[in-house]
Amino acid sequence: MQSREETNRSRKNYSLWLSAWRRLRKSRMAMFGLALFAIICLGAIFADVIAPYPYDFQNLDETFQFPSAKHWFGTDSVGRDIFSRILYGGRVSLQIGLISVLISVTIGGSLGAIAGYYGGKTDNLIMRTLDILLAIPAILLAITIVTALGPGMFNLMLAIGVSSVPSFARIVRASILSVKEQEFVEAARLSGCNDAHIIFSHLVPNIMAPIIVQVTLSMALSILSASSLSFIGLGIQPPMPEWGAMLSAGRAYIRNYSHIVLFPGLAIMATILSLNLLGDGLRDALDPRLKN
Amino acid sequence: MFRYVLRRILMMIPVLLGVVFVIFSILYFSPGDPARTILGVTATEQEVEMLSEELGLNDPYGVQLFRYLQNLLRGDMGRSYKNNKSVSAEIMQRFPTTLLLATLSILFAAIVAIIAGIISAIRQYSIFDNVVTGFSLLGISIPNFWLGLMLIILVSLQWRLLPASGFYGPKYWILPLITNGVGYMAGIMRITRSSMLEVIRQDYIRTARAKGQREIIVILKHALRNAIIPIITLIGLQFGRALGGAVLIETVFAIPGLGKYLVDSISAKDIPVIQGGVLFLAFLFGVVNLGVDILYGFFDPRISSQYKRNKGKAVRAHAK
Amino acid sequence: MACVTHLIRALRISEQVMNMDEKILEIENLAVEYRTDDGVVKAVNGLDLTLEKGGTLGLVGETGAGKTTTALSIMRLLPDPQGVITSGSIKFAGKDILSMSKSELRKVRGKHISMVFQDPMTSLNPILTVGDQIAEAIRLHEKISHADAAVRAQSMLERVGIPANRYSEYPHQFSGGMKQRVVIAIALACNPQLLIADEPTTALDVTIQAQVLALMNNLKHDFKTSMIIITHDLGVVAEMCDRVAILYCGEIVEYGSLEDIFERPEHPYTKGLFSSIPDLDTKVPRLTPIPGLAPDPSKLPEGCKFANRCSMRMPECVKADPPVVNLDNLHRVKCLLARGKDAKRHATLG
Repeated sequence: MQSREETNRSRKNYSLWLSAWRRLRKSRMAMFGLALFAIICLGAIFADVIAPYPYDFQNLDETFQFPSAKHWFGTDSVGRDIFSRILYGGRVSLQIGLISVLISVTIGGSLGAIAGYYGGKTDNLIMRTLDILLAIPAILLAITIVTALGPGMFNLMLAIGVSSVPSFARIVRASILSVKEQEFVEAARLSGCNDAHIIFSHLVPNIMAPIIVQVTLSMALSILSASSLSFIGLGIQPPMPEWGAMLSAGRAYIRNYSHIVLFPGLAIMATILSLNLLGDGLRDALDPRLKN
Repeated sequence: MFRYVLRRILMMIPVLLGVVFVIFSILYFSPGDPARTILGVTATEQEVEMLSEELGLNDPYGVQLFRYLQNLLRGDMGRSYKNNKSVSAEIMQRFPTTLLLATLSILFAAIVAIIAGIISAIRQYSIFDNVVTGFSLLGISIPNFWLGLMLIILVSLQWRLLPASGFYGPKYWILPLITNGVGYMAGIMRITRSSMLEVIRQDYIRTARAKGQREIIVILKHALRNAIIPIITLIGLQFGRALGGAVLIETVFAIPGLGKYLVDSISAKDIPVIQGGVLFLAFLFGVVNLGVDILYGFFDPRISSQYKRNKGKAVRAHAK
Repeated sequence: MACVTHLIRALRISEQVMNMDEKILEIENLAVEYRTDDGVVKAVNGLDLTLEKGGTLGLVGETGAGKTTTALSIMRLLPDPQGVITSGSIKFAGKDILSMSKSELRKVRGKHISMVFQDPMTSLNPILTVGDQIAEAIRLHEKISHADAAVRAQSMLERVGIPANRYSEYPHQFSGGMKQRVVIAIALACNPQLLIADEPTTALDVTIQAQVLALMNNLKHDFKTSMIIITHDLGVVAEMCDRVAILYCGEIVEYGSLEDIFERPEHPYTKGLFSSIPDLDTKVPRLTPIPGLAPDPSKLPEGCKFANRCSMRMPECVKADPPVVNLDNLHRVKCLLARGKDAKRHATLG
């Protein structure tokens, strides 16, 4: 049921993505971030294949080993291979990052879309409610939710997801507001589409750019939050490897065995850095001002 | 200006009430029996039931919420499940440390970052700019608790320059300040740089130069004052993160502040403490945001002029 | 025809003010380029211009011809680092602008040469009061107290038709036309010898345009300011100027007195400009615009830059840059078609 105008527009959108991709390729920082992130993802996905040891394999004869050929990142207090745990930890972090962002986008995006589209009292109500969420420092909100629900991966994802809802809502709302006034919304309404149809098939494709950027940056934030919460004991429970939890466990031994805290921290930093570089690059590449 | 401030304060109140409602409700529905937590596993069912009754834990949700609010207004946040001490008293005792650490960190970060950001913007693409950009990218990616650990390893343990934990004097503040500062500095540097870059391109900067004004005055009086709004917005948000992040920093450096108090109560499921702590920190954050809003009014006359005393003028301003 | 009387009236006024011998501005062979990531754009190429003291020069050209670049170059306000003056000289009242130090330049800006920019909406600092912005200009060049500067600023406001009690208001509280008056007040606050106005009325309504132009004329008379008015609007030129320079692709293709240009245009481009204006009295089936587009400033052609659009183009026009032909003491044109004309004139006069 696509009109000619819609077909032309989707063709135009496709070439917009292409030109954005070309712009992204030009930025060395963004490409470096993309490559780094890809490596981390691959390491996490293929952990079963790459990791020399299972993540919970304790070998009490080989505790506190420094990095060596046998254990690239050394071993921890109970003889587990740190390199393997980092790889599996990547899996955990990426999962948390992805799913919590999914939660935020879905809830936040819908709220923002409704607020932006309907405006008026609905807009006011939704934004004021989100203001309440924003008045609580994110980590404290997450702590509260996890305390209430109990530790564990899913609760962690939920808690982090909820704390990112306001930023997505704001971004989606702002995009909707700027796009709402354009003519094709009037055209769609005149041809009889209902509101939900308008929101999802017409407005959403045009607001993808800021959402994509925010998704990338939010993932970085989620991974950081997850490791922070695990660091204070609220997140992933042992023996599941999680970088923040590994830091927390290794704290007691930093005097003599600092390598235990070095590598998990580097892993967190590398992941967040790659996502930030990628997000910055995407923002520049998708910037509508550059499009013209 | 006064009316603007007043309006902002009035708008803060429903938000704070909302925060109490949200935090209370989330924790209300947490699993576990508070009375059991207090008395421990050895207590009998009867004793648990009696305590529940005494503490009003069997009352319906609405009643408990209202009661909490009432007590809150009197300054009573209940008693810790762990040691029965007054939560408010403990918070009052500890929050100055947390507030001090957060304030000093942000102040330190802001001063360095704004200066660096300005220089970076006026010398775009120079070596200094590249260093600043690189540093800020790294800075926003480093987990601050890990940086703290690394600094402890290097500075305290290897070089033995500074103490690793405690909070007894200025020497103890250096590492926590640097740890905290780096992350916030990075963010403020980025926004200062981008905001200044945008402002410097504006026509009114050219007008200022065309008058024959000295470049440094153009930058500080004309450019910076226009660029400052997004910068102080971010500083306000960073302060919130600093208040929340206290739980991490105080854990790493064993600082006896509100953050550590919170963390210690989490594992014990000491609900009143968690509730009180989170609410208090959210309140502090609210005050900071109010301060930021007031600063907006100072820096941008367009914002405060919306609330001018003389209604006639305001109408005319809008009509134009 | 009403416009001729208008012209003559305008000429008479400015001739009273003008000093034919003293040159306030002399630009020779100015070349300016913009260096960007996408390449180098030659905005101004070998521009020659002079202005007598007290005169008003109209610099006419289409968008992108190099008008604003020329104006910014005079005060060395080109965007740094993209804008570079690659050659030429600019002399203001005999002093070499291009070799001045930064501090000498600052003394000239605002005090001896002032500029009114194109867009009043963005030319004023939104967070400072209009009064302060005028007072700042005064205090920069005269050693007077804040209070005295404020008084002077208030009188400038009155001068431009704004009530003095609006001193403490902010730019957003003024309309476009009033903002432009404030910009004019800032520019004239220190009684400069030269005022450069870059499309001062383009962004304004027609009725406000007339007011602002009248204001500028009065101030010119009161202060005896020399002016350069940059515009693409020939009506504004007719109203305000006694000299006209036609700018195309970064060079002056024709220059002369107002009468020379309006009554005896020589260059095909100038003629084209005049014939594309709709005439209120004559009915025509179609308007006659100048065909084609101006060449890409980063890829300028070898010969005459107007050749590709010129209806009287000859084969030699695309081969080499045409020379400047002096038609009489003021009027000169850069066109191969005018080659014989200076000789002819001399013959008739002789």
